[in-house]
Parts: sequence; C-alpha cells; structure tokens
Amino acid sequence: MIDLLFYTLWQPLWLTLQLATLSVVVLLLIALPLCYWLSQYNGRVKPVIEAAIALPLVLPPTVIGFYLLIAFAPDTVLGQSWIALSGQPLAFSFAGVVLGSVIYSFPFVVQPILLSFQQHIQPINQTAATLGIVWWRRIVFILLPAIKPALISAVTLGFAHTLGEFGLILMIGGNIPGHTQVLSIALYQSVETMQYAQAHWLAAILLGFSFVILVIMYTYNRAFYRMQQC
Amino acid sequence: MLDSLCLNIDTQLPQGHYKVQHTLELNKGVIGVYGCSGQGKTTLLKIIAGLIDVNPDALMWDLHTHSAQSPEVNQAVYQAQTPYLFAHLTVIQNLQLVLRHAMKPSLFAFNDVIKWCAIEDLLEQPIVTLSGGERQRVAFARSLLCGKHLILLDEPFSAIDVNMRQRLLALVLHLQQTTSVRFIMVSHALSELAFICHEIIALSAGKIMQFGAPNLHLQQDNKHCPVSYLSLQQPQYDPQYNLIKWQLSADIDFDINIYSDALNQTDESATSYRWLINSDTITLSYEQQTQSSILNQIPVTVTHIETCEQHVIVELSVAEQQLLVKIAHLAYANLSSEDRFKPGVSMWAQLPLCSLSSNLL
Repeated sequence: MIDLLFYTLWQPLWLTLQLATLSVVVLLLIALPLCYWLSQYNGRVKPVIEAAIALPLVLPPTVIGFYLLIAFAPDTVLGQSWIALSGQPLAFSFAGVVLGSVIYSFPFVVQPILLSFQQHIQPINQTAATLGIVWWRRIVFILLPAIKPALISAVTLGFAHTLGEFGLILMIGGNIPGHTQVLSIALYQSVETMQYAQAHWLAAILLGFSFVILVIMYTYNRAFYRMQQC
Repeated sequence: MLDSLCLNIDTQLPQGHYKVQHTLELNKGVIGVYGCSGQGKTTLLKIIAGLIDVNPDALMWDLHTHSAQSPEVNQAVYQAQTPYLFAHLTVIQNLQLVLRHAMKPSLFAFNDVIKWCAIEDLLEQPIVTLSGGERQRVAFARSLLCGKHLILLDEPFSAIDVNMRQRLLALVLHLQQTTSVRFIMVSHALSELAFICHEIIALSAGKIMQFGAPNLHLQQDNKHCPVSYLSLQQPQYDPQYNLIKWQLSADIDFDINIYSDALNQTDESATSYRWLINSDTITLSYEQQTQSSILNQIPVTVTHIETCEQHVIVELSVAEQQLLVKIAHLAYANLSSEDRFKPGVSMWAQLPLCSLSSNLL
C-alpha cells in the first residue's frame, strides 16, 4: 500500500515540484534581462516582440508542443545541438518538458515583471544616476527591491501555471513515470485506467496546492499595497 | 571647488530648438533661472545634470573642456519639482541608500542635514505617508547628502509653507556662502529668486531673454508696480520692543537702521536679509518726518524719474542700493512745485515696517 502510494502519488508530485521550481528559475533568468531591455526599448518591432511573448496565452499548448517536436527532431540542427548538450533527444525527456514549461509559462512571468519595470525603471534610473549611484548598484539595491511584489507575483504565477500544465507535456514528454509523468498526466492516466481512488488523491493535491499558492500571493500583495497606500 | 560653468548649448529637442550660451559664475552666488512654464527651465537643469543628451561641447566646467560626463560621475545633482523618492523605503532608508551607494562621500554630516531640513520627525515614516512639502524637504536632504558639489534645484520648495520656505532659502544662501556647494535654482516666482540669487537668467522658448542682477528683472517683471529690494545686515534683537534692528550697510559710518518684526526669528544664523519692497508702499518727503508713527525712514537721493501714463516711477539710491517708488501724478505735481524734484535731490523715504514673513507671499 505504501509502495503504491509512493509510486502513484509521491513520485509525480516530486517530479511536478522539480519541474515547476526549475522552470521558474530558468524563467527568471531569462525574463529579468529581457524585461529590463524591453521596458526601455521603443523601436518598431516592440509590438512583434510583445505579441511573441503573449502567444502562449492564446495558443493551444498542443501547437507549441507540435512545433517543438518538429524543431527539435533528432535530424534537425536544433535537435542535434540539443542532443550534444543534454545527451538525449528532446522528446520524452525531463529536460524537454522543462523547455516546454518555460515557453508555456513565459507570459505569466514576463507580464508582471515587465509592467513593474515600465513603471519604475525610468524614474529610478534618472534619480539614482544623478545622485551618483552606478548602474549595477541601481539594479541590485533599488530596482529589484522596488519591484519585489511583481517578482513574487511572477514566481507564484509561473509556479502555479506550470503545475497546471498538461497538453504540452503530453505532446513532448509522453507519460514516463519518474521522468515525465507529472501530477496532471498521472491524473489523466488514473482516470483512463479507471483508478478513481488515485485520481481523487491526485486531483485533490493539485487543487490544494494551486489554491494555497494563490492565497499566499494575494495575501502578500495585499499587505504590500496596503503599506503603499496608507 | 566649482567656479564657473560655461554653457554652449545648441541643439534640437522634441520641444524645439534649444540655444543657451552663457557663463554661469557659480562661485559668486546662487544662480536663478526664471521664466513661465514650458520655456525650458527644467530642460536647462537636466542638460547640466547630463540627463538630456545635447551637443558634446555644451558644458565647460572651470574653463576646461571636458567630454560629456555621465550623470553618475559629473558634479551636478538634479532635484525635480515633484521629487522621486524610493517608495518602497522609509525616509531614513532613502537617505542611507544615498550615503551607502553614491560614488562620492557626503559633504555634510547626516545629523546636520536632517536638522537643517527639519525632517527629524519624519525619519521612520514610509514615503507614501509624506505630503508634497515633506517630500521636497526629504529630497533636498538627499541632494545634500549625495556628495556632489553643484545642486540643481527645480522649484525645490514650491509645496512648502512660507515660513519653512524662507528658512530653507536662507539655508541655501548660507551653504553657498560658507561651503563649497554651489546652487542653481529654477523658479517661476521671481521674488523667491530675488531673495537669494546673485544672478538671474530669464528663459523663453529655449533662449535667454535677459540675464543680470535680480533688481533688473524685478523692475521689468511688473511695470505697474515694480519691486525692488534692500539688503539688510547685522541684525540686533531688541527685546524691549520685540523688534530687530538691521543695518543698511556694512560701513559703520553709514548708520542707517531698518526695523523689522521679530516674529520669525527661526534661523539665528541669518546675518543678512533681502527685503523685497513693493514700490507703492514707499512715500517720499523733503523733510524728515518727526512726531509720527513711522519707524523706517531713510535718507535717499533721486537718481531717475520716469513718467508713465498712470503713474510716475522714481528711482532712488541709498547706501549704494537702489529703490523704486511709485507715486501718483498728483503727488508728482505737488513735489515738483518749486522745480526741486529732479535727479540729484536729497529726500527722505518712508518705508513700512519690514516684515520677515511676508517676503515671499
């Protein structure tokens, strides 16, 4: 019984947490410099870039998954370099699922950070520069602390959204326990094989997790904005 | 030590062509920049601060041509009219941030600055709870602490009440005269600039319309009722009558006194004061008025008489200072009866009691 619980509940849960954490870290590493640049960029292709960032919001995840599979097929240049880097093909691998999650949750992490940057960067940069504070100190000691609420929104939304990912993972990763079988996939499989007791557990875990994360985010943001408005 | 800044700005900005060529003698006194809204006052300060890119040879500090320096390393700090304070921090954290992370060490002690700016009671407050005037005071403290030698003030005290504004203006003048910090100040209120400035530049549509001593601007500012000022020195408090007695000249032989109220003796260190006087509050007579309630009566010499349609403006000189008096045509006719009233004649001018608080109203 304990073994069964471990394999059917704990393993997908652990995998899901690993996936969400890793995705959020990668997302922050990409989103922060991108937003820093984009919030000050006002060129002609800005709408194109913004549209590309927002695409995962409107596209069915299967479309993204399909193109990723095509682009990273082992006989393409991208696929070859992926294999050279990670040692295995993109399809049916954990690394492939992380890549998919990063693209899928991209707008959820970028939007709050971008909005906050657009609001703060220009006045902070001007004011701090004329006071004699150099650029990297401005970013580390003023800008990042100033956008803390947006960072927390971005992290929680990115994390929660990755928890809820399904179609894209199924397309890229398939359903391999311990590698690509995250909670949502495990739930799907349980229902398919009519193991409703397991399905109830998995669904309840996902629901509880997502709810708690959102409650944490809204509690924190409310406290912050109340402090700013009192 | 900053002595001079030679401006040679000639550039095309989104608002229009901007051309300002002038040498600012920073060491001689506070420089004022005056003009209506949208005429380029803020732009001038931002160019000097390096926040707006212009032609590379636009700024020449102390007669050395420098290549344009970035705002972080140049000598100027720009303080905006609605200053941007870091809203996620408290007042004291805002100030400590500058002390810790600015490239240059502060020129003043932290405790002195917060006392000067009267922000001791605000230190622990979050920025969002501050009023506009309190924000301006905190921003001024922050500018003083950032270690730069030239502070560019853009309407710095516009949201601050008259008494505190007068105290802060006196502080600016005091720091300019006694420390190595230099000030350029923008205002649309000429009286505020005349109060502390050595030279005032009037801007219009991105060009200098006029520059020179404050008196020059005051006369032209309001032709119907021009304003002039007297520089008062060496205050002595008279506790018996609760008045302050000022000297009109540093020269001891030239003993002319002006009395002012002592209601606003907030800043004991103020050793000089510029009293702005509306020209219609002064009267003239050939004889000294005795047995009257007038306290401020000074001997003057008429230097120029100008008749306008509605009134006559008389220029007077006293202790190498200039005063303007506006009189009616009837008064002019009475004074002129024996053809005595012409340049060179000595007269007595009766002035109201000097009010230290009403200066900036």
